[in-house]
Amino acid sequence: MTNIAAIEMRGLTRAFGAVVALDHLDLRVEQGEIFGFLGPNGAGKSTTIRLLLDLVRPTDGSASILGFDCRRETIEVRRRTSYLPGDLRLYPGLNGHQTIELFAGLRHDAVDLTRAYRIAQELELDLSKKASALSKGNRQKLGVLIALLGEPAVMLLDEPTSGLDPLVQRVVWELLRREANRGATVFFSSHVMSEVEVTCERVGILRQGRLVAVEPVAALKGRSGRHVEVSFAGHAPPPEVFALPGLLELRREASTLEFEVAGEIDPLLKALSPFHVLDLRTEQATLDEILLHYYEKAQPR
Amino acid sequence: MKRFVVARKAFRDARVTAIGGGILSFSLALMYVLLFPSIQESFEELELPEYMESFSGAAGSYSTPEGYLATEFFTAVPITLVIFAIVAGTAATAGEESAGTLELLLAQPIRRRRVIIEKAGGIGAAVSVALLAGLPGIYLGQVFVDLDVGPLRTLAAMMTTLPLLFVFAALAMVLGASLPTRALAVAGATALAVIAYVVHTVGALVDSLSEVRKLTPFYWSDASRALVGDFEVWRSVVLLTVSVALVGLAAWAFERRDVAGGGREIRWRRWLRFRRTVSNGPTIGA
Repeated sequence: MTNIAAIEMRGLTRAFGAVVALDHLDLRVEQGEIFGFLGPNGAGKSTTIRLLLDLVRPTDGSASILGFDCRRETIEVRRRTSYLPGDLRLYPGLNGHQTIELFAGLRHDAVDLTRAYRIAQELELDLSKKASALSKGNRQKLGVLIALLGEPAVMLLDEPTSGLDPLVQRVVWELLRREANRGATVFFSSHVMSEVEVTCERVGILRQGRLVAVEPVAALKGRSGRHVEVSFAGHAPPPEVFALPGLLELRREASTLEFEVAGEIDPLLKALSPFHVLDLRTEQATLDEILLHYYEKAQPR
Repeated sequence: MKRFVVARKAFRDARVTAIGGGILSFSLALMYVLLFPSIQESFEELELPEYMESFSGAAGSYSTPEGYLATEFFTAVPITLVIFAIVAGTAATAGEESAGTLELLLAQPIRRRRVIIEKAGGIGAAVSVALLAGLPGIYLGQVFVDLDVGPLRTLAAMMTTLPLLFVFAALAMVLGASLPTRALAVAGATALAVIAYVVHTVGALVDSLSEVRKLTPFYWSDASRALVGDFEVWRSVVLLTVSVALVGLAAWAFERRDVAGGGREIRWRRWLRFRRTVSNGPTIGA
């Protein structure tokens, strides 16, 4: 059982006429993983999640969840998954209790409502109010609660912390980590880099419907560039000294140079050794910068 | 999964149809019955034009209790409730899709066809409440006024009218499940209802349309026969069969299409593209 992927996509494609929203996506997410699905608006993140739930149909390729085909065995898939839409709309006339009872009633397996009410307390969510009277943040909390009903094996969450304040975001991240600890797979789309950094083990980066990277977060950061600022005792050496592969001079002042270094820093250190260096400061590129690099420069593979 | 969760929700959503239609049906029934003695007196000596007498159908004359009920209550109320049924029918899928709530519902482990069938059940129940609220109105009026139509005959007339409402609610569900916007589904179903009603009414007087009117649901829902004790069950069976077939068609259409998310209705162009993709692409099917 353990070698069955939580989510597997094989050449998953969705086109709307000439517009290809998702282009031959191949991706495997393991059970128990927290996987971040990143990309700019319109990259195809929501379409991917909606394809997994059979809300939209692929024009080519296939996907499976826990070994069940997302088209042919969609009920088996949906028995094991939960969903939080990116643009959540709830029944305005139902209050929190009624909403929870409605969606709990649609699950095949018995739902522990006591647990749901406990989570509502953790989220400081008032279930007596009608959805129409809730703020966006509170509606989002209710959406998170619906996604947690019935302890699903796979959670598909489209920007789960959208509209939540930082404190509640932390509670949600903690809830997701708890779900992963009990063995659930969490697959969520986001463009909030900080939440990806603190919650995800791996990320996939989507650009214009194509997957441009799938990496563990640590590897992505490790492989990425860093900023290096060097201060010299006298004038900075001429530019030709630093004409090295992977080295880009960003700023030059009388006695200070700033570089962007891709990969190892060793060639730069060797190039600096003949000179009198007063100070050297390095700074890892943030995940934001890494993602911007992928969004702007990376060619779809 | 709990039983009839979606059906109960659909009934709740159609409560405006049930309560509003029910009040309308009850009030009109009571009013028509209470007005009968004065109407009868005025019209007994009159010879009505042929088109007016045609509303009385098998009941014969407008001045008889059966003819009066057939012409007034069983003409005005069904055509009004047909509109209520159309509104409720399109709300089932197209309405939820426009509101953006359909996406989360269909992400639950429930088949689309079951959603359609349960919603049809909930809407059918709401429409039934609306029409049958007319019964106590008629019975109450008969306490005060001498309108000699037996309670079972009135009930039979209701039973022959009810499937008419089911047909139009189911037709609205087909259009709501197939067309890209709710407004279009309401407009389409209403247009079909009006055309059917006109053909049925004119067909009663124009020989060349007498066969065509058999294609309209109104022809098969003939309350006047039931009011004179000639309740033909098979006519209701025909309408019920058509209703079930239409619900089946709605489920089939609904199974085969994308669901818009976030309250965005599927745009025409995108919808047409998808239709083309469905007809060409082997990977998409029912």
